[in-house]
Amino acid sequence: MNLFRSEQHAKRWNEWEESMAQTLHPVEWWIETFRNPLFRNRSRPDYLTWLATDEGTSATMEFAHRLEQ
Amino acid sequence: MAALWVTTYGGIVVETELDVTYAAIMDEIVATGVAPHYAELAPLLQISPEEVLRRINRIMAMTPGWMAPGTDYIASFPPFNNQPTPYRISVRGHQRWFAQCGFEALACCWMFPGETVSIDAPCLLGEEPLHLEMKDGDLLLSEPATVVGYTRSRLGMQEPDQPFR
Repeated sequence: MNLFRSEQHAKRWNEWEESMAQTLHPVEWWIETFRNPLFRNRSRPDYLTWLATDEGTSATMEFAHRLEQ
Repeated sequence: MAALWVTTYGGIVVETELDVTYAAIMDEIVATGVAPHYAELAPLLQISPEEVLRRINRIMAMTPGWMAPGTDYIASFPPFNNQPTPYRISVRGHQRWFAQCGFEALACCWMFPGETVSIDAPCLLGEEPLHLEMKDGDLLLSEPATVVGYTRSRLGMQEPDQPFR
């Protein structure tokens, strides 16, 4: 899970795997992905309890679906 | 879920013993950049060191964090990492934190609301480093403007032994 200066840099990395090329996105796409409440809510005093709520479960599913794009 | 510890908000349970422990660890990392040892948390939480460690291990099983192998030390507590990584996080000019990975670096800003959070990382190809600035989830600066993210590992929340590693 790394950041690269450009798409070309990522593809020149010695650990690049073409089979995972679908994970290559502009940083803006990853920023949007990490706007999910799973990450925004970590400072809640009840974060772990929140994770188990319908809202937390929904956020987890939304995150998983986003990664499938 | 853990036994209930605090009940507020009109009878809705909002904190458990694990919530309180999680928050204590996160607060310490945000304040200092370093994850506390479990014994340090014992007086704060007013429980035994053994109970703190038990709770930490339960939290690690529920979240994408982990202990340093073979130790009782917190290695990773996302979005932060106790061990240095290539992803240095700075706030107000102080570089005290490391992100768990490049992606979690993008989530560190949520732990510092209202602050500009800088992410500095080397180029893994040995070329010029990259620099990002974020505030409350918005990208303020990207140097260069062409930064991308890529992983060759699976990530997500459904495989507890894999996410974010």
